[in-house]
Amino acid sequence: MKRITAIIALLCLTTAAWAQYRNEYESSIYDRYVTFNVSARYGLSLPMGGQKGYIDKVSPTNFALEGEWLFPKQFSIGLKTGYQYTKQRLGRQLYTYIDGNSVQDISSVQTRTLSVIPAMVSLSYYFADNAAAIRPYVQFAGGGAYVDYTNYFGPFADQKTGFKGAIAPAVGLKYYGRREQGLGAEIQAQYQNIFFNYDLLKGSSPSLMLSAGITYRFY
Amino acid sequence: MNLLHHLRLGKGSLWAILLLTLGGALTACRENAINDLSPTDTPVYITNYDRSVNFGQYKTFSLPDSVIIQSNDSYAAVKNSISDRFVTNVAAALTAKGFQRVTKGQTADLGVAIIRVNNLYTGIASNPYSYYSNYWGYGGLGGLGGLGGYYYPSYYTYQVTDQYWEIQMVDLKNNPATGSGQQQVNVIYDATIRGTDITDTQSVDTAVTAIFNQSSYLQATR
Repeated sequence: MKRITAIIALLCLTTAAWAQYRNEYESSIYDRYVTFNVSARYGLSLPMGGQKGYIDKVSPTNFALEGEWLFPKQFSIGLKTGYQYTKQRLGRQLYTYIDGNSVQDISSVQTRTLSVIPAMVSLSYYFADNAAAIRPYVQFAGGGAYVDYTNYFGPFADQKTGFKGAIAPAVGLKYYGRREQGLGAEIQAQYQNIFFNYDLLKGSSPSLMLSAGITYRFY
Repeated sequence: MNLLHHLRLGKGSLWAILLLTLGGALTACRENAINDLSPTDTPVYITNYDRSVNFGQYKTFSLPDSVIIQSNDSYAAVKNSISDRFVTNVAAALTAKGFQRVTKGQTADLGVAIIRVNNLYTGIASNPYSYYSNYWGYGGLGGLGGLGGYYYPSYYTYQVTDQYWEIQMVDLKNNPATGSGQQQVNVIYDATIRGTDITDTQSVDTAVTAIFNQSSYLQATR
């Protein structure tokens, strides 16, 4: 028993010393200079709040691209874009529009689509140093997004497009396998608000995107 | 060899390629959204009515045996298997709702018309490339690429056709005379069948049934 305790104590001490040695003499280039990271992810998007009034269905067609400048103090500034597309077809229904005394009833099959291309600047804080194997982070992104709202009544389209302001706070994790390694995997949960409201799309189209993909850091 | 050269281009071009791929995907998705619409899902039935009108006050209706073809500003009457089917179905539907059809020439409370709209619009647009090529003195694309002196015209025309079926009802019971002594009738109900062209009698049945099903307010007091 005494022997085991001694071994554990020795192991702890040597590990501590080794860690200190690393810090002083082998500090990573990632910790000394501004380095880079790029990510490409595929995701599922869940409509929330006001977006459910337009499309109430999980979207399987979402892609995210992100490029970051990693700064030595565990934070980064980045650019993010991507492509989000969601579609829902509703069975034949009667839609009623009233304008004064004139009433219009439209019986049609609606195909509702929403395409989004975000263009945002992100600021992230990492809970591990830049060369670490596992890097959890929190992020806040803001900027704009190009939105294409097209609601088809049969073959006729009610379309509205625009570039509107957008915000997207997110949490995520980058996993590289070991210290200093370039290629890794990433998962992210991102809440998004685009200040685009039109007809059935209300409440600044909120959505939650869960994405996973590859990430690569380099200098 | 070419491939190797590409790989050496570096990270910047990789980004550009990824962005281009995404751009391509964008246009692809939305444009394919309605490609899988079935023929029964394609038609759009639009009905308009004046809700200040009490349809219960009408008892009789007059419906011609033929259909009016409206082509821009001209009108003509036509009679064929499709139009016959329309007339029969509309008459049956209105009778089922308690209205009585009167024979030709008799007075009625409602005038019903079945119209085949066949509009053709011609537009004009300019070609921006023509302007630039003349401006820079290249004389069109021919001067640049050696396409044998081919010139784009500065302006070109395009045509849009708009074809649909329409059922209109006018109020013949309360037709106020205007100052000039002319009679004025008000359209109190209007139905259009859009999104698809009707080419067989079965589509006529489907369309007329759909239209009168969504017009429950069309009901004579018995």
